[in-house]
Amino acid sequence: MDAVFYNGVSARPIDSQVSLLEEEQQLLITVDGETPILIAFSEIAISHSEKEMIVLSFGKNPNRIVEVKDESFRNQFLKCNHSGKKGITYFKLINAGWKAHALFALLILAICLCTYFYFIPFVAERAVTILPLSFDKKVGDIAFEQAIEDEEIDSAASIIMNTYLKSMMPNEYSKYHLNVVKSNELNAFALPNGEIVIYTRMLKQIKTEDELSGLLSHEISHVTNRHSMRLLCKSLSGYLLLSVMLNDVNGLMTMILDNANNLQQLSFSRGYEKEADLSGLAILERYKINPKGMIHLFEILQKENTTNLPGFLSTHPVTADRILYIKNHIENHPYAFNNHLELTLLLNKVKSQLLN
Amino acid sequence: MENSNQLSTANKQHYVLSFNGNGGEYFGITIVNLLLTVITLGLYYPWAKARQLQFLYGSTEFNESRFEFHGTGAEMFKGFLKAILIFAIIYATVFLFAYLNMPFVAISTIYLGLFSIIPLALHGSYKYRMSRTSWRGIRFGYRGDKGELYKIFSKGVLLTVVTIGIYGAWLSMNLRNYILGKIKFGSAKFSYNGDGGIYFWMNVKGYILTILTLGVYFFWWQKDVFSYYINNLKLIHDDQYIDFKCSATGGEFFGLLVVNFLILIFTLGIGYPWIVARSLRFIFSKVEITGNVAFNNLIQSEENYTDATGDDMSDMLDLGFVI
Repeated sequence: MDAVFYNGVSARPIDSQVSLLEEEQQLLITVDGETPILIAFSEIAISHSEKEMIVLSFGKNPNRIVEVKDESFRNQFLKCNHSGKKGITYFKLINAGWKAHALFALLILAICLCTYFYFIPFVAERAVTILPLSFDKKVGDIAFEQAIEDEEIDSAASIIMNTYLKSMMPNEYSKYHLNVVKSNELNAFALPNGEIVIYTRMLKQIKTEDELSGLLSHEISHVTNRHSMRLLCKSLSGYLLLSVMLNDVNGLMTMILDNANNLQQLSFSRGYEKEADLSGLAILERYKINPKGMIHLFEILQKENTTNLPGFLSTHPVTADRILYIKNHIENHPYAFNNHLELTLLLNKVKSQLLN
Repeated sequence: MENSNQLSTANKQHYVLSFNGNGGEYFGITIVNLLLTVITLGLYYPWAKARQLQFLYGSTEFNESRFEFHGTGAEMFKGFLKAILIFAIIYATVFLFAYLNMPFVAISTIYLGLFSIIPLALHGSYKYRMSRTSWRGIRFGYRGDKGELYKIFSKGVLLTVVTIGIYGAWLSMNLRNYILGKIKFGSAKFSYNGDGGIYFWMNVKGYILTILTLGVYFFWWQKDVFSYYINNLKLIHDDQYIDFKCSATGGEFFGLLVVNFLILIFTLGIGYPWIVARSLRFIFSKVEITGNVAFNNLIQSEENYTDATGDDMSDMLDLGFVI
């Protein structure tokens, strides 16, 4: 094959012949009247490669160059070169054609999208641990103020409910505070500062103390698992990434506080709900409360699902699946539970208070 | 210019400079580079940069032979680490002074640091890039002196500050005259003969007319600046030389940049490689080269220089390249 050879000393082009020795993985360069040059593929760098041309270079001093203007030689060189060195793999990729390159472009796009929509939120959710627990209180305070702004609190019922909580879980009650809000919505929610809001309609629908305990244990689990904070971090993940890169945790905290108002509009994912259900069941087990109450609670909510439900339940309805895994969990984790007479009394008391 | 009378003008001929790469090829390079950079979490960047330069140089043809870029990713990666270290030292010093409650000293350190880094970066960048560039195996080289560059730079910056920016045109031309005048191409050498005054008034005129014509004159202004860069360049070998002349018109610049803009918008950025390819094709085809240098007689004269620190510093400072 005809080629032009440059000896690295002068710019004068020298007519030469090249051939590929595939077996030996060597390139043979012959110039009239001179000793032929044999050079191993592993020593050859591809200086340039385009459709009908390849420029090969080898040696440091002198750096010699062979220019071959032939498409089949170029393809042959890339194909039979197994040295894997000096960028051969790279040029094989470059040579892969426009279809492969379009595929690479799609792959890059997919990586970027996955990073943005899955990876960064995933990391952000776990990054909640860099925020101090005291910060949950701040966020909760703002959200709570916003949540009860236009609501009427039944303070007498609230006092009874807090007594209920105290006797339900005497070791842990102090971190939480219950508020009964007069409303026809079937709803209850917990905020990161430990404030739990229960709507009167919810209390009216509840029949037994086990159901109420199930509800409370579920809401408390949202707080202990920092679900609201995790959700906020996740939804602000782009910003979180930036603040971690700039080492600006304070900026992140300001941003979260600015968004605390929207806390109620965010709805928990099924994953969070399941986690809250299971941690809730653990609380019930700790205080020897009948776990079946939670099943009954969700059966009540499920019945309501058929009618038009406002608020958080509409976005994450109680599904048969949810009741099923709770049932399974209870069957697999049997424990002895007690009757809690004092809780029964307190529930009755609060129900009669609501009738006033 | 000063010795052009002694240069022989016999046997004048035309030389062709052209860009032979096409957008499709460059797209492939860009995509593969991007993919490798993404999956290595950015670590591949120096190698990608080397490959990209290799392609652009290799696609550029002068007098029927291609340029070659010999820089490697490993060299650039080492240079990158050293550049980072230098910046880290400057920042650490600044923070130290800030911590010691010496804000004035801290701010002075920033300015002094940047001030002393720019000539160093330029110098290193030229030494590296030129040494890694060759044509028919003959290396380019930069033989400038760091001290001289510092002198030109510090005098220029001082006068630019004193004259509220006016001297900037002279600073720019002085740097260009010095740096390009120290570039060797094997046994040949470049020379650039720019004049600060002409350059200054050209920019004043361009600026005023661009405002008066609501931006339309901008393309003609760009053409004037580009032509000034090209037309004052010369390559000298023994008693032979070649001249460079830009034949592009303002209208052509207008067409180039407007179409580039449209491609970028309508392809959502994917068309960028095609923009690079067509721009280079345009620019190189508009450089007319005439003279009588016998390029076959060029002899290798420049050493290898593999320290890419200056090049990486320039990259970080976004200094760009004078040529």
